[in-house]
Amino acid sequence: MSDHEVVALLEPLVRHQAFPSVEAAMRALVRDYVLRQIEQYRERLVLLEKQHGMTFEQFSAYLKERAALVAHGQLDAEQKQRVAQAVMAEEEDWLDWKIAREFLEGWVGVTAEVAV
Amino acid sequence: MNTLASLLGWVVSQLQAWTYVTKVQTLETESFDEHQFHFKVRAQLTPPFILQIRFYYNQGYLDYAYQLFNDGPLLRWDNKEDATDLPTAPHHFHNEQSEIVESPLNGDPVRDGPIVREAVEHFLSKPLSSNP
Repeated sequence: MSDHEVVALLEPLVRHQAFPSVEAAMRALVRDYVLRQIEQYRERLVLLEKQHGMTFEQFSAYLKERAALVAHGQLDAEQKQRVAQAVMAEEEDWLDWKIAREFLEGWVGVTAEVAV
Repeated sequence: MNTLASLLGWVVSQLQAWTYVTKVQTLETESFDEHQFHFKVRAQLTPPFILQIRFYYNQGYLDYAYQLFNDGPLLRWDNKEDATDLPTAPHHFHNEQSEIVESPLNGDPVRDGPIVREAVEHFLSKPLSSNP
Protein backbone atom coordinates (compact mmCIF):
# COMPACT_ATOMS: atom_id res chain seq x y z
CA MET A 1 0.00 0.00 0.00
CA SER A 2 1.44 3.36 -1.00
CA ASP A 3 1.61 6.43 1.27
CA HIS A 4 -1.07 7.99 -0.89
CA GLU A 5 -3.38 5.01 -0.37
CA VAL A 6 -2.81 5.13 3.40
CA VAL A 7 -3.73 8.80 3.48
CA ALA A 8 -6.81 8.13 1.33
CA LEU A 9 -7.85 5.37 3.75
CA LEU A 10 -7.56 7.59 6.80
CA GLU A 11 -8.86 10.81 5.29
CA PRO A 12 -12.57 10.04 5.94
CA LEU A 13 -11.77 9.77 9.65
CA VAL A 14 -10.29 13.26 9.54
CA ARG A 15 -13.16 14.62 7.43
CA HIS A 16 -15.67 13.30 9.97
CA GLN A 17 -13.59 14.90 12.73
CA ALA A 18 -12.75 11.64 14.48
CA PHE A 19 -9.13 12.80 14.37
CA PRO A 20 -7.58 16.23 13.80
CA SER A 21 -5.14 14.92 11.16
CA VAL A 22 -4.11 11.85 9.21
CA GLU A 23 -0.98 11.60 11.35
CA ALA A 24 -3.04 11.72 14.55
CA ALA A 25 -5.36 9.03 13.15
CA MET A 26 -2.43 6.82 12.26
CA ARG A 27 -0.83 7.21 15.68
CA ALA A 28 -4.08 6.48 17.50
CA LEU A 29 -4.89 3.40 15.43
CA VAL A 30 -1.43 1.95 15.86
CA ARG A 31 -1.51 2.67 19.60
CA ASP A 32 -4.95 1.07 19.97
CA TYR A 33 -3.88 -2.02 18.05
CA VAL A 34 -0.77 -2.53 20.16
CA LEU A 35 -2.63 -1.89 23.42
CA ARG A 36 -5.34 -4.37 22.38
CA GLN A 37 -2.70 -7.04 21.81
CA ILE A 38 -1.20 -6.34 25.22
CA GLU A 39 -4.60 -6.47 26.86
CA GLN A 40 -5.42 -9.78 25.16
CA TYR A 41 -2.26 -11.49 26.45
CA ARG A 42 -2.59 -9.94 29.91
CA GLU A 43 -6.13 -11.33 30.11
CA ARG A 44 -4.88 -14.79 29.17
CA LEU A 45 -2.24 -14.60 31.90
CA VAL A 46 -4.76 -13.46 34.49
CA LEU A 47 -7.10 -16.32 33.54
CA LEU A 48 -4.33 -18.92 33.81
CA GLU A 49 -3.17 -17.55 37.17
CA LYS A 50 -6.75 -17.59 38.41
CA GLN A 51 -7.42 -21.08 37.04
CA HIS A 52 -4.36 -22.59 38.72
CA GLY A 53 -4.12 -20.27 41.71
CA MET A 54 -0.42 -19.60 41.24
CA THR A 55 2.16 -17.77 39.17
CA PHE A 56 3.86 -19.23 36.10
CA GLU A 57 7.04 -19.88 38.08
CA GLN A 58 5.08 -21.69 40.78
CA PHE A 59 3.16 -23.66 38.16
CA SER A 60 6.42 -24.73 36.49
CA ALA A 61 7.75 -26.02 39.81
CA TYR A 62 4.42 -27.69 40.60
CA LEU A 63 4.42 -29.48 37.23
CA LYS A 64 7.90 -30.78 37.82
CA GLU A 65 6.75 -32.28 41.12
CA ARG A 66 3.69 -33.76 39.43
CA ALA A 67 5.82 -35.39 36.72
CA ALA A 68 8.09 -36.83 39.44
CA LEU A 69 5.00 -38.16 41.20
CA VAL A 70 3.97 -40.00 38.02
CA ALA A 71 7.50 -41.32 37.53
CA HIS A 72 8.45 -42.28 41.07
CA GLY A 73 5.40 -41.85 43.31
CA GLN A 74 3.64 -44.61 45.20
CA LEU A 75 0.33 -44.47 43.39
CA ASP A 76 -2.12 -47.21 42.62
CA ALA A 77 -3.06 -47.76 38.96
CA GLU A 78 -6.17 -45.61 39.11
CA GLN A 79 -4.43 -42.72 40.87
CA LYS A 80 -1.52 -42.95 38.46
CA GLN A 81 -3.80 -42.77 35.43
CA ARG A 82 -5.67 -39.80 36.90
CA VAL A 83 -2.50 -37.88 37.71
CA ALA A 84 -0.87 -38.76 34.37
CA GLN A 85 -3.89 -37.45 32.46
CA ALA A 86 -3.94 -34.31 34.59
CA VAL A 87 -0.24 -33.72 33.92
CA MET A 88 -0.83 -33.93 30.16
CA ALA A 89 -3.61 -31.34 30.43
CA GLU A 90 -1.44 -29.17 32.69
CA GLU A 91 1.43 -29.28 30.20
CA GLU A 92 -1.01 -27.89 27.63
CA ASP A 93 -1.78 -25.00 29.98
CA TRP A 94 1.92 -24.53 30.65
CA LEU A 95 2.54 -24.06 26.93
CA ASP A 96 -0.39 -21.64 26.65
CA TRP A 97 1.08 -19.74 29.58
CA LYS A 98 4.60 -19.62 28.12
CA ILE A 99 3.27 -18.41 24.77
CA ALA A 100 1.14 -15.68 26.37
CA ARG A 101 4.09 -14.44 28.46
CA GLU A 102 6.45 -14.29 25.49
CA PHE A 103 3.91 -12.68 23.15
CA LEU A 104 3.10 -10.12 25.84
CA GLU A 105 6.79 -9.36 26.24
CA GLY A 106 7.04 -8.84 22.49
CA TRP A 107 4.07 -6.47 22.32
CA VAL A 108 5.24 -4.49 25.34
CA GLY A 109 8.52 -4.05 23.46
CA VAL A 110 6.59 -2.69 20.48
CA THR A 111 5.09 0.07 22.63
CA ALA A 112 8.57 1.52 23.02
CA GLU A 113 9.22 1.23 19.27
CA VAL A 114 6.04 3.08 18.31
CA ALA A 115 6.20 5.44 21.31
CA VAL A 116 2.62 4.87 22.45
CA MET B 1 10.12 -24.63 7.30
CA ASN B 2 10.55 -21.81 9.75
CA THR B 3 7.60 -19.60 8.90
CA LEU B 4 4.02 -19.94 10.08
CA ALA B 5 2.74 -20.50 6.55
CA SER B 6 5.33 -23.10 5.58
CA LEU B 7 5.20 -25.13 8.80
CA LEU B 8 1.42 -25.01 9.13
CA GLY B 9 0.97 -25.86 5.45
CA TRP B 10 3.31 -28.80 5.79
CA VAL B 11 1.58 -30.16 8.92
CA VAL B 12 -1.87 -29.87 7.37
CA SER B 13 -0.78 -31.54 4.13
CA GLN B 14 0.88 -34.40 6.03
CA LEU B 15 -2.27 -34.98 8.06
CA GLN B 16 -4.53 -34.78 5.03
CA ALA B 17 -2.43 -37.43 3.29
CA TRP B 18 -2.86 -39.85 6.19
CA THR B 19 -5.55 -42.45 5.51
CA TYR B 20 -6.66 -42.56 9.17
CA VAL B 21 -7.54 -38.85 9.05
CA THR B 22 -11.05 -37.81 8.05
CA LYS B 23 -10.87 -34.09 8.86
CA VAL B 24 -8.17 -31.53 9.64
CA GLN B 25 -8.95 -28.31 11.48
CA THR B 26 -6.64 -25.41 12.27
CA LEU B 27 -7.89 -24.21 15.64
CA GLU B 28 -5.44 -21.44 16.46
CA THR B 29 -2.78 -19.40 14.71
CA GLU B 30 -0.99 -16.39 16.12
CA SER B 31 2.21 -14.67 15.19
CA PHE B 32 4.22 -11.82 16.59
CA ASP B 33 6.66 -11.70 13.72
CA GLU B 34 8.14 -14.13 11.25
CA HIS B 35 10.37 -15.60 13.95
CA GLN B 36 7.70 -16.05 16.61
CA PHE B 37 4.46 -17.89 15.95
CA HIS B 38 2.16 -20.58 17.30
CA PHE B 39 -0.49 -22.85 15.86
CA LYS B 40 -2.77 -25.66 16.93
CA VAL B 41 -4.15 -28.23 14.50
CA ARG B 42 -6.50 -31.14 15.15
CA ALA B 43 -7.00 -34.21 12.99
CA GLN B 44 -10.07 -36.40 13.42
CA LEU B 45 -8.98 -40.03 13.31
CA THR B 46 -11.08 -43.15 13.65
CA PRO B 47 -13.80 -41.96 16.06
CA PRO B 48 -13.49 -41.10 18.89
CA PHE B 49 -9.78 -40.42 18.55
CA ILE B 50 -8.29 -37.02 17.74
CA LEU B 51 -4.65 -36.08 17.23
CA GLN B 52 -3.72 -32.53 18.19
CA ILE B 53 -0.46 -30.94 17.06
CA ARG B 54 0.88 -27.69 18.51
CA PHE B 55 3.99 -25.87 17.46
CA TYR B 56 5.35 -22.72 19.07
CA TYR B 57 8.37 -21.36 17.24
CA ASN B 58 10.36 -18.53 18.80
CA GLN B 59 13.70 -17.29 17.45
CA GLY B 60 14.79 -20.72 16.23
CA TYR B 61 13.47 -22.77 19.17
CA LEU B 62 10.46 -25.03 18.67
CA ASP B 63 8.12 -26.11 21.46
CA TYR B 64 6.00 -28.98 20.21
CA ALA B 65 3.22 -31.18 21.53
CA TYR B 66 1.56 -34.09 19.76
CA GLN B 67 -1.38 -35.38 21.75
CA LEU B 68 -3.81 -38.19 21.06
CA PHE B 69 -7.05 -37.94 22.96
CA ASN B 70 -10.68 -39.05 23.06
CA ASP B 71 -12.62 -37.68 26.01
CA GLY B 72 -9.29 -37.31 27.81
CA PRO B 73 -5.58 -37.33 26.91
CA LEU B 74 -4.16 -40.75 25.94
CA LEU B 75 -0.68 -40.27 24.47
CA ARG B 76 1.51 -37.19 24.39
CA TRP B 77 4.94 -36.35 23.04
CA ASP B 78 6.35 -32.96 23.94
CA ASN B 79 9.48 -31.08 24.90
CA LYS B 80 8.33 -29.07 27.90
CA GLU B 81 11.44 -27.82 29.63
CA ASP B 82 12.26 -29.23 33.07
CA ALA B 83 9.50 -31.83 32.82
CA THR B 84 11.74 -34.79 33.57
CA ASP B 85 15.32 -35.85 34.19
CA LEU B 86 15.18 -38.49 31.47
CA PRO B 87 18.22 -38.87 29.18
CA THR B 88 16.14 -37.58 26.26
CA ALA B 89 14.94 -34.48 28.17
CA PRO B 90 13.35 -32.16 27.32
CA HIS B 91 11.82 -34.64 24.88
CA HIS B 92 9.52 -37.07 26.69
CA PHE B 93 6.56 -39.33 26.03
CA HIS B 94 3.43 -39.81 28.13
CA ASN B 95 2.51 -43.40 27.27
CA GLU B 96 -0.67 -45.43 27.63
CA GLN B 97 0.61 -47.04 30.83
CA SER B 98 0.41 -43.57 32.47
CA GLU B 99 4.20 -43.32 32.51
CA ILE B 100 6.50 -40.53 31.42
CA VAL B 101 9.29 -42.16 29.48
CA GLU B 102 12.11 -41.41 27.03
CA SER B 103 10.97 -40.07 23.68
CA PRO B 104 12.32 -40.97 20.24
CA LEU B 105 11.43 -37.45 19.03
CA ASN B 106 14.03 -34.71 18.68
CA GLY B 107 11.97 -31.65 17.70
CA ASP B 108 12.48 -31.93 13.95
CA PRO B 109 8.93 -32.16 12.57
CA VAL B 110 10.05 -33.92 9.39
CA ARG B 111 11.74 -36.66 11.40
CA ASP B 112 9.22 -36.76 14.25
CA GLY B 113 6.02 -36.82 12.19
CA PRO B 114 6.40 -40.39 10.88
CA ILE B 115 7.37 -41.65 14.36
CA VAL B 116 4.21 -40.19 15.89
CA ARG B 117 2.16 -41.45 13.01
CA GLU B 118 3.45 -45.00 13.38
CA ALA B 119 2.85 -44.99 17.14
CA VAL B 120 -0.68 -43.65 16.73
CA GLU B 121 -1.46 -46.21 14.03
CA HIS B 122 -0.18 -48.94 16.33
CA PHE B 123 -2.42 -47.63 19.12
CA LEU B 124 -5.44 -47.43 16.83
CA SER B 125 -4.88 -50.93 15.44
CA LYS B 126 -5.43 -52.48 18.88
CA PRO B 127 -8.84 -53.82 19.81
CA LEU B 128 -10.99 -51.12 21.40
CA SER B 129 -11.15 -52.98 24.70
CA SER B 130 -7.36 -52.73 25.12
CA ASN B 131 -7.38 -48.96 24.67
CA PRO B 132 -8.08 -46.80 27.74
